[in-house]
Amino acid sequence: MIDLLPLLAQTDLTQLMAVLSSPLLWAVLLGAVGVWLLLPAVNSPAPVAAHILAAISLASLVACLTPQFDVENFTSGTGMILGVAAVGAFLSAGLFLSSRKTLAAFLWVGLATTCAIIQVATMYVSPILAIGVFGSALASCALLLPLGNPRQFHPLALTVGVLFGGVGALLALRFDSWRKRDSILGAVAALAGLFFLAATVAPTDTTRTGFWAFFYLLAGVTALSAVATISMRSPVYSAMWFALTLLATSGLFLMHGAQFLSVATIAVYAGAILVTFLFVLMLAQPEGHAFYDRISWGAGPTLMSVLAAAIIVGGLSLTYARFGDDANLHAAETPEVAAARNLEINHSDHMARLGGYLFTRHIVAIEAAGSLLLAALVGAIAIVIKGREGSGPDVVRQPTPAPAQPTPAPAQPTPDETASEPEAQPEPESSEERSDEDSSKEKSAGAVASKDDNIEFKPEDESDKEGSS
Amino acid sequence: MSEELSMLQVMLTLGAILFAVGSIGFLVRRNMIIMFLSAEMMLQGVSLSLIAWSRYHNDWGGQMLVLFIIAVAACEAAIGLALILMMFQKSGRLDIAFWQDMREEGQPGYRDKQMPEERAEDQVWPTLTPAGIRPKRDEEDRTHRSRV
Repeated sequence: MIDLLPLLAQTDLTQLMAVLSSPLLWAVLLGAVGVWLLLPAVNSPAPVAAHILAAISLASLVACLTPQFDVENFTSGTGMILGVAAVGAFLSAGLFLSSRKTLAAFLWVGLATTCAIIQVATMYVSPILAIGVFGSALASCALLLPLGNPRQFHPLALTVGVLFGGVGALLALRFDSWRKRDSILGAVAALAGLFFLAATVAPTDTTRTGFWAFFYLLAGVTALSAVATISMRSPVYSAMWFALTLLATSGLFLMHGAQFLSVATIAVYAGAILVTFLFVLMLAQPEGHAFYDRISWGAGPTLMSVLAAAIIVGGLSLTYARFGDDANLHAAETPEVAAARNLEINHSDHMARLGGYLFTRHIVAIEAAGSLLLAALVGAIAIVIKGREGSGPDVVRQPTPAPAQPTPAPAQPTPDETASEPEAQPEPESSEERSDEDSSKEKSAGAVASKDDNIEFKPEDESDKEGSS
Repeated sequence: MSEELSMLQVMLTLGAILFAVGSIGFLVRRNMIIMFLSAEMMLQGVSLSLIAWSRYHNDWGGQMLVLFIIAVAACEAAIGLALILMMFQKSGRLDIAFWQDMREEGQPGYRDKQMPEERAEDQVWPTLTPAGIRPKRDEEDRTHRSRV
């Protein structure tokens, strides 16, 4: 399969230079160095994955050197985008390796290998397969290139945007070992990602700069506070950031001719739903830091979910970006349509028209929604009453189905710890005491997590609890 | 690119971002309340897209759908939070990993590799400025208000 010597014999110097300057080669080299740097960390699962990735890297390099190898491809747009990807991989490598985390190595080797394999996939198989198999944001380049019309939309900007957004989200999600440097880097990366994404959809002919500045401001606040919502370690902060997301969203609603829904979002979402969330938080949040707010399912699942999100954003914005080519959508925007919009959605009698539409055409749906709300009300009360009946103290102390399971929830309380729990329950005198208690409790819980195999419910005193709630 | 089309694209992209970020949060976080917030965020992303289409096509349909989304989200919050509260009263924590014995048979259980360490900067707690005399603590109050 590998016919290296004849190939090298035929190759003249320019071709060799093209090969040497190809991003694929550098990607593979970076991947190899990444694996080499990974090797000291023997005890974590990372080296296995790293070896696999290195093998894939080398295999793709070999595949590129087969006689079908097309040097011209490397100088085309694919090569350029993959070069950017390789540089991105290199940068993220530098950032992450300095923190000596396995996530770092995953990201780096993954990025480097992805650009190598996409290069191969676009050359030999099909762009669709590249997306299906590797599914990273980089894969959208492969689809973009055949369709490419750089005047209408910017595949490079889109890719870089999604890439930066993914890196930013990854950095923001490291709430298990939060550092200020990470959050600054994450914010910078997320901002850069938003900038590139915004560049793909910027209007080319506008006179309303103030409108657009405000529009982009609201959009940026929405996206960044959304990331902050899922990355805050304290749930109360999460709820507050989500409130900011909702406020910015309702501002966007207002700018898009949905005045009533803007107010309804603030009143119902931010006013009622979020306050209910906060009530439940106050009722249910244990004192101090809960360990499950600072830990996730591990680096692999986090990376996977960020990649999945990058696919969603990359694929969807790729679809939206092609709207620019759609003649029908362009034809839809005529002065008559714009005038009609001002006569319908943006009419000064917005509420009257909305109400008229709602209570004539959607009258059945409105009734159904009302019934649903009533059913939810009854259901919520029923759940609470049933839960009270079934969770008396004696029932809780003897959980019949649970102890048979040899599958522990993390950090089960040990018997002696649960025995000491009621003493820890009354409010401590000072905040320092409380934090000390909490940290020692959590440390012991973490230490015994691997030994204790019994599911054991905490013997909470339910009468106390009912008195408080 | 015309202005309306750009507005549509920005809104749709933002809706996609909100949906994706919400899905990340749902998959990554372990606190049930934050998972719930993430689900609401996904709904919000869909609402943004609907509003944008409603404006672009000059049609009320999108706004109607958003109205019903808000109603459904309110129902969902009521029932979901009642459930979360009940689950908390049974387990004493909001950790979704506690309920992993509800998983499919034959699946291995999830076990934390390492617990997060508590660092010095984590030990800083918000404090209130003391004002006035500290009230005498009631013993009955101690026993009845363990948590709030």
